Amino acid sequence: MTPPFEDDSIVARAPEALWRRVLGGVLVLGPCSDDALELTSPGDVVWALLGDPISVGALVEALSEGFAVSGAVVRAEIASTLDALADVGALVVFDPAESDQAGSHPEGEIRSETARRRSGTDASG
Amino acid sequence: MPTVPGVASAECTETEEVLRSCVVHGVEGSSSWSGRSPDGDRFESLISRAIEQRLLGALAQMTHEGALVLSDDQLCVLASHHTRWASHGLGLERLTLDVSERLASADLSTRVLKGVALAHIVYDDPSWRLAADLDLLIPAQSFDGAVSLATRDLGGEPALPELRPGFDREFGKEAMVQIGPYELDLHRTFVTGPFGLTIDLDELFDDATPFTLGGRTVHALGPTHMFVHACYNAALGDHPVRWCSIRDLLLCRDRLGVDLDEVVSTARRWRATGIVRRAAELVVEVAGADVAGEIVELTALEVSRRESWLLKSYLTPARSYSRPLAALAVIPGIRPRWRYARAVVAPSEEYLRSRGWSRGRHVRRAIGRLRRAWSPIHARPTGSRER
Repeated sequence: MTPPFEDDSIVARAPEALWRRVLGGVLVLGPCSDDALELTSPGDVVWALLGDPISVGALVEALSEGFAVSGAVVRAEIASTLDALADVGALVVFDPAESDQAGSHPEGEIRSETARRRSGTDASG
Repeated sequence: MPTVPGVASAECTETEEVLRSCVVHGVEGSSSWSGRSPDGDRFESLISRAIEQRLLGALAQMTHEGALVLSDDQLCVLASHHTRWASHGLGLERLTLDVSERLASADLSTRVLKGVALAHIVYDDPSWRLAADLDLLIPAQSFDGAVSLATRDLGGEPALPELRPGFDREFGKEAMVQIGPYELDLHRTFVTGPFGLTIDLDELFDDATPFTLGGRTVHALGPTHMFVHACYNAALGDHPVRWCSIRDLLLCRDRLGVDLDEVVSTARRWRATGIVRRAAELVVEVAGADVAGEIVELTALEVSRRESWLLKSYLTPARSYSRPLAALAVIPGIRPRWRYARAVVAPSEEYLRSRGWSRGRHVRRAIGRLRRAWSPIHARPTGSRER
């Protein structure tokens, strides 16, 4: 079973991901897939917020305010989106234990979430 | 003003109005337009024409930005088409990265051309510029190596054999390679025929415009060459012109910051002044003089009789034959001319088989078409031969 994202995990789009805006949301082609993933609301909003590194907690809070729903509902909604993005290699996770702030992260600290999950290790290594 | 090709007159006004708005949407000098989509069969016609004119992305952009109001059903139809094309576009971008990386590992330079490059460089959002295939420019001296690599390492299948072995490397415009569902066009030059043979191909690699794709840097042509290439596409790419190429040229003007004097200077070096003038005339025809702005100045360029004659070879119904005939006028040297003429008149059996032609049918077809087209190209300019 895939471990859930922690609130203090910092996530962002993988630079290798290719994407396009479509009328119903966004299409994302991750490096680990041959088929584009279509994200409709709120998935497209999640993708927009992942344009800069953001903690999962802040992501939940932003969506909760924007859609006027509880954090618990948001967490349930976006879990599948984050999993889907991770599965196609379109998501990167910054280990908060190795980086003191989002935006200040040598490349070595950035691990593909897909690699982490495939190796079966947790965020702290 | 020209009408949209293929549109019956009864629906012409509505379809034309919307598509013309697509061409100039967000372009400097254009007025903001908003309106409702035509209904019923006319909406289907609008979608078909938008696809044909490669303006489906612009249509989606106008809808996304609220300039074009659609019913829910119409939105579903447009969204379905756009999503399909956008998905294809993402595949082309991945192919761009794969091919560029393979070629770079073999020390081969590339320049990304046309849709994939323009989407990222002159369009605000690449989502609104759709492309059908991937066009890459390869240095002429590396052409054969690049084609071999594309077929060998990337599992590509050549779409058509060469006219004769060695033709593409010396005279050809491009080699088309099918890689899975995607068409890769490896270009040696911009166009087939005489105007593809007068370009200084080495000069195309003197400059570049970098852009980011999937976290990596790839390169398009330098700004002036990109603008001139957009002129080639508008003037010679399709006949009649695809309106998307007019939009591309207008956005090149807006976003590349090129000096039109440099454009003209480049065109003169390449004997392509007539191409730039024709492209400018088409911009004025399709988008209007107000939107064309400084491009209007290019409609006053003086073009030699020789260039005018060469240009006519691209615009006749027999252009697949009149262009090669005209190309003989620009190829320097007797031996290269002989090789070119021999390839065109007597292509290889492999090429003829791929077309389903016999040698006799090839010759009869050429004579018939050239005879019908003889008048427009008959008035050859007198004067000295090309160097």
